[in-house]
Amino acid sequence: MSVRQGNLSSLLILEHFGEPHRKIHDELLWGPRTLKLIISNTGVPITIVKKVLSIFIQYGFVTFDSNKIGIAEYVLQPEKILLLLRYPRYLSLINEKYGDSSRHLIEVVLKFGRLTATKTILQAWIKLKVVNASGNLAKFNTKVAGLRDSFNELVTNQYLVKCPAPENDVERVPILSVKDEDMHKPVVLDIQKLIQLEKGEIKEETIENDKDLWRCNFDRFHQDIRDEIMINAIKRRFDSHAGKLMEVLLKLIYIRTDPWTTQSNPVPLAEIRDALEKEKCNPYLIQYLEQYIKVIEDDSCQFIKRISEGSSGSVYVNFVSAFRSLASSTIDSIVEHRFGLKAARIFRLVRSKIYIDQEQLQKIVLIPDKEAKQLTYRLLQESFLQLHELKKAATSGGPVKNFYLFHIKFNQVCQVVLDMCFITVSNTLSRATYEKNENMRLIEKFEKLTSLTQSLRDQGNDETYIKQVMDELMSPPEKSLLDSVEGMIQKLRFSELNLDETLFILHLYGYYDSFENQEKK
Amino acid sequence: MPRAKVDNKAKASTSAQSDPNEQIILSLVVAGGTKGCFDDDLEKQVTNLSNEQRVQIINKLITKRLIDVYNAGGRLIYKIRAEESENTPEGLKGADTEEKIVYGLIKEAGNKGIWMRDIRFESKLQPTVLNKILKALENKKIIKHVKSVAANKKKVYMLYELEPDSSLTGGSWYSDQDFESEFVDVLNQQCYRYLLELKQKYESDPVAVKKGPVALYAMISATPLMVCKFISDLGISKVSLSEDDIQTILETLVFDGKVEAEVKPGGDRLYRAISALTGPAGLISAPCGVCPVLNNCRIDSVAPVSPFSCPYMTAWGSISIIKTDF
Repeated sequence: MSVRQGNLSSLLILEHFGEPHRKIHDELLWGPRTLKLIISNTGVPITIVKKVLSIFIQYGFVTFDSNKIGIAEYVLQPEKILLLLRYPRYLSLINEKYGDSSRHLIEVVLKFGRLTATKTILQAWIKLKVVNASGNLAKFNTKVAGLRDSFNELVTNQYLVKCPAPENDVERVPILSVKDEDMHKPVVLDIQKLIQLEKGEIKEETIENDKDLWRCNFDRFHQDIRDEIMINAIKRRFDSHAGKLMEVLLKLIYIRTDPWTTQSNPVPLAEIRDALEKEKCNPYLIQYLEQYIKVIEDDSCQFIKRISEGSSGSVYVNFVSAFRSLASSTIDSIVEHRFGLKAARIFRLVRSKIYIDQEQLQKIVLIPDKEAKQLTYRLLQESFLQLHELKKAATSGGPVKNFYLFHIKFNQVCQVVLDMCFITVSNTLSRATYEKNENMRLIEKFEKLTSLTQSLRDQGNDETYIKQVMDELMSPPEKSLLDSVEGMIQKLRFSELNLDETLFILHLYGYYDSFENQEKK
Repeated sequence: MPRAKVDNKAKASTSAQSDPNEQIILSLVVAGGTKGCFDDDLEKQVTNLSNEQRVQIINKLITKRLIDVYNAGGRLIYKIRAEESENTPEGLKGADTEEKIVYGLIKEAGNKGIWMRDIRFESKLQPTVLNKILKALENKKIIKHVKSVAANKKKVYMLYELEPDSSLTGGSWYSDQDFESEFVDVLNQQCYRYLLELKQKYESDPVAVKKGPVALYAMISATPLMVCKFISDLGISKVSLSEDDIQTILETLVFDGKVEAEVKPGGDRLYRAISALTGPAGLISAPCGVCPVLNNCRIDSVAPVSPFSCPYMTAWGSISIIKTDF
């Protein structure tokens, strides 16, 4: 993990939790620590340390394990903290797929880290009531039951999973485990009791069989985001028919393949055709299915490969090469915007030639020599290119000519870009906080005014009168300042979301690349 | 040690009038062939001559430019002058031996040319002498100098009638020594425009689309020849561009990521316009993504570069969000 990433996760913890949390997080960044070490190193009181650690464990930011002498050691999971950036994305994804009520459920689980099914449903229900304040109470019964059904739908679709629970109370450091078959088993909840509980007629403890905690299964969300990225890429490169084909193909793959392997098992062509027909796709796509597969296969993006020609053939998806293409395309776009179109040309050339010397490079790129040299060395300076020196064996007398070859260490470039992303996210986060703090007085004033107008409206005052009061209390310059601050913060948040997509692609590439290397061994 | 050189034709004419001793020595030197004949051997074989007489004869032969004298490890070697080629230019006939050496070196270099310094090393002539010779040869239009695009101040010499190699002139993209970067950029744009229009034309044509994706992609692909024809019809180029020239332009488009090349069996290349797999990366949606001082940025209110005082971010934040299609 890089220093930049550490800084970012530290900032995220500060923003979402608070100062003592950050202190303990920073301490854990150095490596696994026991409780005593944390207390002595940070000077935070033991009660607070315990509280913070349990919060971290609840969110999955920290795991624990017993060390050699049987004392618990706490280990930070920095990549889980970075997921905080992606929470809005998860919510919009669920909203699109399953609608409003499921989104509220996920929101509650994300907010609490891990939670029992009953509590999740009740919290989501309270939220739903607040949002739909005017909603009628007649829908009440079906609503809680509906939420329970939505909950179970999320469980069976693996968006929610059961957390591991301690096996027994004998061990000093509990060993957590969960049976595989229980992970995605829907919960059985007594709907009557739920309703009674909601009305406050019974206490929560009376509900039995609900000791299990549930958490979000981020891998499942990532799988969806990954598929979306792949489908969109195909759509951009070819057309919507090809995108549809990719979508159907990915769906078929999950029937017979673990979603996170480097390449899928082959899917027979006939099966794809059946699936397309079942989904009532455009007959054009079905008619030219084989041609589409050929076109996508021949393309440089290398998403799919075909085994054996003819109608008996089958197709598989190669995730490693797909994400290599996606990561390259992302990095190309960064180079293009950061250093210009011509630098991007040089960058791509070096990548395709693997090793190239300055003179050869200048001959191909058709850029004036001076400019080409300048751009090449600029890329070198910013670690997008690497230089490889070829030394000739020293000859006696005469000038020795060494060869300097440019090349790209792609994983290193990815790391450079990742670091840039971390700095950028840190910057947007801290700038947004700064803007908020700087204009705190103004924001508070505006909030007061909003509540004032609301109460005026409740009293039944005239709209024009309310407007008049508002204008008197808030001068135009103040108003425009407020608007610009709001715009700025909104824009910063927006770019955070965009940045996360870059992070996602590069992280996934890193995952696939290391996975592939392991397989080779 | 300058080498004396002799015209072989001259030998026949002069040898007839020379005395028999001269003939004998000359024949011995000829017998030595390319290896030459040592002075000691000559002394042993021609016993009837005194040392002074022999030296006299040899000097005579040298002045007649029939033989060369060399020094090998303290011993003298005589060699017959190599035959001069038939196509020696008129201006060089009867010229100075030094001129002939320089001429020979320049001729050897071919259309790649030879640098003045290299001539000096090879011929071991003084710079002033060499300069004079080169000027003389240039005036006679036997040789010419060409400036190389690789090094601006480097002059290379080659025979007058030769066409300089493209590594010296830089090919079509150079006029004199300057790289025509604007010309190349315009060509780059126009080639892309052609491929893009080709793509749009067929993709919006329902008849073409009906033939299926493979046929469609074949239609929107273009050979360098097609692009070349389009460019010459446009008339933007004063010089006529060959297919190879256009292909180099198309290759730059491939490296721009705008075009994909497909290699057909037989080595022909087809080009077609493509769009990138991903939209603009998320990183560059924030000003930091293109910030030149990103590495100096510190989250610290007193640091010279920090997100709090960043003018780029302030300017960027004051413009409202334009929804883009990501």
